Amino acid sequence: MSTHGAAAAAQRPGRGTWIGRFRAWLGGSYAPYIFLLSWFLAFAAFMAYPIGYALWLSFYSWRGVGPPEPVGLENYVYVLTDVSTFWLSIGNSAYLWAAIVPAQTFGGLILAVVVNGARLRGRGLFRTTFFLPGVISLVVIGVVARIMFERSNGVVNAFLEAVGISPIGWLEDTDWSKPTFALISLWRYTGYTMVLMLAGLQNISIELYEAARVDGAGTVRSFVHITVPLMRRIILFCLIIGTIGCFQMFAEPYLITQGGPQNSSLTAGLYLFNQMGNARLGRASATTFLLLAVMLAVSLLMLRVGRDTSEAKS
Amino acid sequence: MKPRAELVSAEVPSARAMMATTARSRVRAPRLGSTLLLLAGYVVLLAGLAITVAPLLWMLLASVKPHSQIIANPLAFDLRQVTLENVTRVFEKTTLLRGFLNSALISGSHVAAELFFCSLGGFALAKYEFRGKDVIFRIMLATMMIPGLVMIVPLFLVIARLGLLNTYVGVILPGVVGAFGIFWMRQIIADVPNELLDAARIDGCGDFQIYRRIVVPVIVPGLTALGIFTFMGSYNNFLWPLIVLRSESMYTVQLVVANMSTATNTAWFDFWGMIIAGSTLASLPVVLLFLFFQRFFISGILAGSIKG
Repeated sequence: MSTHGAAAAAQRPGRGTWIGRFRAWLGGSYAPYIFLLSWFLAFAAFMAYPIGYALWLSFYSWRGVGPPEPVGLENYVYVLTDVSTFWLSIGNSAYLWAAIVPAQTFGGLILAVVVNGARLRGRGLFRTTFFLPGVISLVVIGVVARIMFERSNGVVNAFLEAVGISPIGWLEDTDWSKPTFALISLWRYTGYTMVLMLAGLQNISIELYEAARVDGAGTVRSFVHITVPLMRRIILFCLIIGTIGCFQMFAEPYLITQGGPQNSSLTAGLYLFNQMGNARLGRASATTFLLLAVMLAVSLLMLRVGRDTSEAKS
Repeated sequence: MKPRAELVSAEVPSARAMMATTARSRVRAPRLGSTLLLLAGYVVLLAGLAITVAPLLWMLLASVKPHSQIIANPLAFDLRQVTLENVTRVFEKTTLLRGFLNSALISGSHVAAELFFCSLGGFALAKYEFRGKDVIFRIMLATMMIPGLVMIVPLFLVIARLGLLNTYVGVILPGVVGAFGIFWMRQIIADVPNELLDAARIDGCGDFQIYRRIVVPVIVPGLTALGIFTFMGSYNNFLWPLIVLRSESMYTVQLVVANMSTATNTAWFDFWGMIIAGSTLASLPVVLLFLFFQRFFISGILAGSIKG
């Protein structure tokens, strides 16, 4: 491949000397290394070193002052045996995952198919509006949702009462707190998923649908046999980013319920934050790596399942 | 010169969609079944639209409604009672104005640094062959897949070690250059013709001069897009500034708004009007940016999907 860096090398002086040969070995120029210097530094200082340091600290007990005390695997054991909060938070996140991610992904797909429909007017308006919640900060969504879902004066219950449904303890009732967070997430992310799906739909050739129609397939059959199989990669991608996003959920429970009532909305993200807040830094480091392992395992599992189903179908 | 390279690529999907529209409507004659489906589609979309818009509309209207009415009459809105009392209360009782200045400083620094460093890095990856390029490329890809939450504790430890807790620099520093931005710029700079760069080199331009005089002027649309996503991410970020900043005078907009809700625990009900008005004010910059530069948002999401 001829790039313009190679042209640069030819006219540089100093070839044949030691330093010239070193430069030739690098590819003819120091410039790309200098141009990437900021990233090298940022990677070292804010990625590689912190992760290494946190990994080291996860085997120590440290409350932010004095020297860290080596404790072996104690932090990991503590977190892994912490059934009443750590595993509860993982369970809550799994519940939220089940309530949010499939609905958000397939809701986004259906919306995208409808918006992409040939005879629909106002596509731009729908796309813009559905995406709008995605640009509003989680803080705003959190503080306003806390007001809207309030039991006795909130607008949501006022609306339900107006249509004859008795008020619900959205944020006060342990059975309702997770569904409420699921509703908030679906409101924010379904439109975002739709935009991703819309991009994929526009890559499917219209001829396929025409051919299916000539063969007598209706809209629903085209959807099942053309749209879904061809969109499999994007669907899988949406499922994975949805999953990772779900396990990272923090701002909403932090701002709305602080994980309550009775830890019913304590998410994995909030559990991690609380340990930092208690200055349990070794333990927070261990939690970080355990959460990373959970997220990796779930993502790999989904990739595996996605690949298996695609092999089975093709 | 091709200053429009990015513009064109960003518009390809919608152009293709338009072609699809005309092609399909030409072929398909409306039948009863498809008309019913279209109708059902409209019902789904309009329901979705109502659910999406209703909370935003309520928030907007509640911010100009008398505070007492928000609680007493949450579903009603009386045009004759429109008031700015909630908005003035925000500025009297909170540091939101200061928050806007802090956010401008932090997000402005993020945007400036990200644009400069990512376009330089993207230039290196797009237009040079050098030893280790593949490895660097792969490491960047891997770093993009690390979930943000995982970095919080490690970054906190480092920022604390550097003595940068409760400083603007501590909030800004980890976000000055990112792999996503470098990839984004690399994609765009790859479309700049090599002939332009070679011509400049023959005219005696050095590597940095080529970047500054030839590359930068033709990638302005790509830079604008990156600037917008960077601003959005930085302005809306909550967890990182929450961890680094302690003094209220340094709080960003998001922290000020969050504080309105969490710091008023017992008297929370008395502040609903103010909290809603503050939330609306805090959302204005991003919503306006989104409405004016929609095209860039969509192309950014698509680029984000390519990385996966």
